[in-house]
Amino acid sequence: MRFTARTKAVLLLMTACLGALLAASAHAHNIADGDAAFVAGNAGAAVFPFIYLGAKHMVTGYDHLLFLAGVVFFLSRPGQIVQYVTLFAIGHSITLIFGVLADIHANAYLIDAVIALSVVYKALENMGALDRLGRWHPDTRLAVLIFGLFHGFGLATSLQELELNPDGLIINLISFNIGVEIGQIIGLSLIVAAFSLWRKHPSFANTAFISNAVLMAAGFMLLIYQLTAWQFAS
Amino acid sequence: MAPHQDSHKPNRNLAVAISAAFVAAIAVFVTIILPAEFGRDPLGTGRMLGLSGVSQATADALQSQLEYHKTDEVEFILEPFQSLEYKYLMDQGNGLVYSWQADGELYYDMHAENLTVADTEESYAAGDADRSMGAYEAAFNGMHGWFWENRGFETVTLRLQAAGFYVHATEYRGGGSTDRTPEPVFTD
Repeated sequence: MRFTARTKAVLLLMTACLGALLAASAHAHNIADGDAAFVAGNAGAAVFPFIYLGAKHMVTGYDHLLFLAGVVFFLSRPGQIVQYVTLFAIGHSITLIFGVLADIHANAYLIDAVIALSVVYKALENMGALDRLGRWHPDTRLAVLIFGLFHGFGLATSLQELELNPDGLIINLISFNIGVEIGQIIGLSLIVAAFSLWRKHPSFANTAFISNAVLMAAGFMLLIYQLTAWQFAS
Repeated sequence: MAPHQDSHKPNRNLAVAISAAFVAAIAVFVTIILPAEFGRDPLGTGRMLGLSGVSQATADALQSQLEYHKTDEVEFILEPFQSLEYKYLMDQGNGLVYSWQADGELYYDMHAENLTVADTEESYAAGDADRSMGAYEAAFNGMHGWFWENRGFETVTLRLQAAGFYVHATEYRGGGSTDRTPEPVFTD
């Protein structure tokens, strides 16, 4: 009985991860071609289009969503969720805005590889792998903030791949950032709703460990994917 | 197998889970993602699952058009140091197949002028040549075409053929402009 419930949950998770990976086009996690043309042809402030692009980027960004799923996996109190997600938002907003304004061009593949590593790290933490490190255990809040910085660099590089017009850049950048937060709230509410339903079921506690192993596998897959794409591109 | 029953040997459990996660990731990557996304199929699994074509397929190979299909053929005489512009009014996504040829070298600049956003121009190719051909897709609503200038001392005859989905053509020469509307290929 317990085995079937566990197997079902694991299969469901695996299909979700695989589906997300396969549904994504060869453009891994860039802003879609049509949207890119729009941005390239745009000059001046365009608040709502950039909010939309930011939100779309986040909702369809499975790497960001997998990390968030890992972050809220064991968080059930709304206060805690808000605290962690705010730290993540502060982290990625800093590097998104700073990265674009300071014109820092990080390697998109390597940044995405670090983002994939953040998924692996979060799964490792959820599996209790770091518990025996004692006082060397990394602060979980600090980790979310720091990985948030890398996620922000990822957002910045994908925005920089488009030819951003300096005209209206700051307003468009802030609009994109607002969109990212809106998209994050949309994605997160679905994840939190699904987890809170699942948490009531005994399969949640039974499969927490193995579910995070599956999350880690998805992180490894993204990592290998990004490193391979980097090799193919260079 | 439940984690709480094995709490006395969590290290081994962790090692097994992490290795399994890594091996599973490699396996899925090599058998599915590599053939589907990168066109490499080391184990033949991509062919077996029919995934090999995924990375080659372009979802938008066909683009139906709403504008009428028109063909245009024009000839211009450019005396030394004369220049002209010839551009098509096209909507975003409209396509054009063109060839131009001259009996002498001309300076050319293929560019587009955005009509939705003021003062926005995009240049796609510029240089000296006596011929060029290509397929073009309008990136935005505007006027799309060429500037030609004869920088030599001989009169040059330039011929252009363009088939595509444009509204009309406009010739800018000597400070004035004239519109030309080629007939659609099917007029009824």
